[in-house]
Amino acid sequence: MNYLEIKDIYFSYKDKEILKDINIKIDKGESITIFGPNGSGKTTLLKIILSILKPLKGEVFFKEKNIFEFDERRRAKIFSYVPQKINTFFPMSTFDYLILGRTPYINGFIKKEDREIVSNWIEKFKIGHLKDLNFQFLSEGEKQLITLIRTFIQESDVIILDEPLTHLDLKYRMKILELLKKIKLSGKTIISVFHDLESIRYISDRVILLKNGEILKVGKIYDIITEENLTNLFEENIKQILTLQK
Amino acid sequence: MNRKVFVFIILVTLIFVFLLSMSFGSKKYSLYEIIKFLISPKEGDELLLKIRFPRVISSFLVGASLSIAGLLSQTLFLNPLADPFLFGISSGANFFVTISLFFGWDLIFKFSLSFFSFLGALFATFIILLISRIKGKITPLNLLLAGIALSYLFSSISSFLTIWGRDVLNRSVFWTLSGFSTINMEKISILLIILIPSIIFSLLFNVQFDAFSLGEDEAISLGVNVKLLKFVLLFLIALLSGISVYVSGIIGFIGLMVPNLLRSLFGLNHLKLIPLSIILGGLLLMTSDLIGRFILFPTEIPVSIITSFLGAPFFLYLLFKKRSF
Amino acid sequence: MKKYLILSFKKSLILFLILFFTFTLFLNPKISNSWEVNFFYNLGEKDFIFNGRKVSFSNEPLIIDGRVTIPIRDITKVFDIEIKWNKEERSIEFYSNKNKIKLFIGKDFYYYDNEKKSLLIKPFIYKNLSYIGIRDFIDILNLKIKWDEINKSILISGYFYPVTRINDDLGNEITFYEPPKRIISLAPSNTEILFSLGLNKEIIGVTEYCDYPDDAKKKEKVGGYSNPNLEKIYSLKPDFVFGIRGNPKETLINLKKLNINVLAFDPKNVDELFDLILKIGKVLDKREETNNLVREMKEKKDSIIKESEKLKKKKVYLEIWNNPYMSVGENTYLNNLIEEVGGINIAKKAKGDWPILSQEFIITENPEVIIIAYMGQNIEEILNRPGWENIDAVKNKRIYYINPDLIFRLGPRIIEGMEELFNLIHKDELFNNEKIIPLSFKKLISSNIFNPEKNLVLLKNIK
Repeated sequence: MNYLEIKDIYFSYKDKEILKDINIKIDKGESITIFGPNGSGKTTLLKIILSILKPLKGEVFFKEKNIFEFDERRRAKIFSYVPQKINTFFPMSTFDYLILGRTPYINGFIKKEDREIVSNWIEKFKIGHLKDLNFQFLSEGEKQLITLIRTFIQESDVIILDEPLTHLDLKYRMKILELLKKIKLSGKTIISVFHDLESIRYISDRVILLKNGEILKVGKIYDIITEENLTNLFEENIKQILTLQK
Repeated sequence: MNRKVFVFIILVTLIFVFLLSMSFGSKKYSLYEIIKFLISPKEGDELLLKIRFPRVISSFLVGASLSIAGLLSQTLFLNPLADPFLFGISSGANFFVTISLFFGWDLIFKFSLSFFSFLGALFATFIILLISRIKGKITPLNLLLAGIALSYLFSSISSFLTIWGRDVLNRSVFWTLSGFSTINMEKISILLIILIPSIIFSLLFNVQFDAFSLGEDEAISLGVNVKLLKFVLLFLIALLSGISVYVSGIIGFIGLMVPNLLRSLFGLNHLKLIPLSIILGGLLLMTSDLIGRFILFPTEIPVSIITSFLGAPFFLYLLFKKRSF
Repeated sequence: MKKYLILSFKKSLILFLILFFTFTLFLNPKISNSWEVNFFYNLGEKDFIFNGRKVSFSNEPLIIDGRVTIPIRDITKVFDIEIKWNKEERSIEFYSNKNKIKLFIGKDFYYYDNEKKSLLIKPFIYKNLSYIGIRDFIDILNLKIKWDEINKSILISGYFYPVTRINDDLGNEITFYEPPKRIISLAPSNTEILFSLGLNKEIIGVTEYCDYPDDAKKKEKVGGYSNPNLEKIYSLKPDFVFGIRGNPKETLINLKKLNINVLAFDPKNVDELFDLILKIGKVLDKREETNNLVREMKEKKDSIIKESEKLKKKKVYLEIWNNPYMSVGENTYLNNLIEEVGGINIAKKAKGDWPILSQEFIITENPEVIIIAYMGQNIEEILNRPGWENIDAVKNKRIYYINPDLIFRLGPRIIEGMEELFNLIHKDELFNNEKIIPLSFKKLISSNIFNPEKNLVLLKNIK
């Protein structure tokens, strides 16, 4: 049985085609990265998987069931999201932020069990010192880390990350990557977007090369990340970067 | 400021202001008389029962109503500076009032103007929803733009009718001066009929509102039906502010000040914020009404003027406050 | 060719003459507006009688060369003429209709504009007063003099309009050399004043709200009173615009710039209204009418006040709006009216002219009478207001409606409003609900003023 299948996705916006003929099959526990130039449709694809956007054509199947036919709570128990930029419009404690990860499980009012789950995870990740601080004033790195922790609280099967390392310093990059490695080892499925090849090497099993909304190539890293493919992808000579990577 | 201390202080102040409001007026009552009245209302003074008590209670209820409407407006717009009259509700209410003055419908029955203002608030909300839907997604920006566009449209038509119509300008001035001086139990029962279910409803959705406050995409990923929730928010805001306008006209600043103050102390937990808004908002408006009754006694100053006076220092406070939690 | 001479020469002459005379009839509008005066004096007496009024001489008349001479200041005063004395020239200047008159002490000629004309008697000074011959004076004014030998009186007739200088409340000063004939009123109260003085065809424009008397409704409309249409007013070519506080100042200023006479007033109480009416009367050449009107209004007012002093004072709540409840404050003329007719205005202690009152206050004050002064309010609703049951006015069902136009328009009908207030407030004490004051002012107005008769008074020999 297919675990996660993205089938024939087509998406356009204001007469501009953004995604075309997207077909991907993902196994349970796999970590797959979408890689491509800016504007190639990566974020859009993620949002379609999360049902934030609806494709004009095509479906997404989870365990061979069409996810668009699920209600939103069920979907939230399957997919969790770490966006590129974390919004903080209002003041709130880190604890309050984390407990919102329980939203798909809460009927009306937060229960004691939900609080306990959050406390446990806070202890496990040793972020007790952040618990009562205003989430708005944490650093970008802390925010990303905590949002990632929230996916544990959300108990989702698939974790979707959109460029999680972009605004972070070295210390937090390492932390996040370490955590992602642990998540992968625990059997969760990860779909991510990264811009740097090092991260991809560290945690991804497969890579999807996305160019202008279409899949150029899919495959294991060492097969896919070649000078030829990258040059094709970016339409620029990437030889120099490849050298740096070594 | 310790949160528990804060709650304690506002509760104590509430009781204090309540008793003060009950005792002050054209006829003064002693503490003893008031407590006796509260225990067995029927045996109390007629004036207390039919006029004083309804007035004090209604100022509290409208304050609560406006605060919750303000809270939900900020949630909906993902903006702490939103208030329930931001997106055209007040201009919608005013618009319907002007139309009814123009056609002379204000003379149909006594509170017909208030009723039309309520209809106007709902009508404006409906139109805005419609406009935003046509655009596609209902985003805070769309709502805001639609609201502003509608505001301009409504106010220009209103101005036109004011000039063209017979005596509309004079009669519309009276409308802006309304407050709690004509309150009676009838108005209160209508207020309660709308307020209580709205509060219960809001409380049931509290976690959804919390999640919505993180932003639309994140809320969707957390399992919130964002489309439905926006509609629920709009509807609740329209109802709560509409009914407040019906009871006592347009009163500004309460919906803006109270949730802001509370958020900085209590975070975004709607389960806490809603009851606290009720208490603080009710307290603030009850106090404002007391001040309005007291300063130029026996002349009444409309309560909306008092709340505007409070609004100015509040904005200064926003400017200068340290952003801490 | 002879076929074309349809009328014979004789017939066409007759036709021409008929047309000519008919035409000339229309050329003499002044015929309808003569000012007939009776002027009577007895030699040696200190007074003379002018239109039924006794006027004292500042100094006794003197006979010079067989002709009667009197102090100039006396005769000009009764004609309401303003004189200017020039010390160096020893001249006296005044206006007669549009013409400038200049007399000199000791000279037997005078200037009528630039024309030199002769006098029968040289003006002189006696006991510090300048004297002039009566005959000369009447000739200067172009009036006709007739001696009545039997009654020993002089009848002066003809048309005379004294040059009138008027100041309004906006700081305007206008000099009228003839009464205006195309008048636009910018307020309902002004319209009522104008009609009450007998004008009708002179009124060429009114506001949309001017609905009394009935003829006012037929007049051309120039807009509202807070937004009169400048262009419309101008297109009607008025020679006088009668404004009020509440008209936009810019419009009035712009009218002045277009060389239209504008006077705007702001009467704050009934006494100022009387002054206003008298002023307007001078402008409109309706001195007698306004004197009578004001005198009657004053008499009526005084008689109402006198009657009210016999009755018990009653607490009154005058409701001018119901959402919120509003009444009239201490500084308003309405407050004064209520007090003058024997009411006690419960809103007197509230601050502001149109204070908002709380229900509590009204209930605590416990008025005996409630008067509704706005449209759209029915008495049933007030009787059913919760908490109001124990108010005396509600218990005794003494809630009445008054036509707002009678009390909010400061015009001639204000006295009718006053009377109505009196009747409503004291209804309980008036015997069988009859009005104590038998003659309703309304009847007085409609019979005398709105259909004016000439006030001709011919006096007999006083002795």
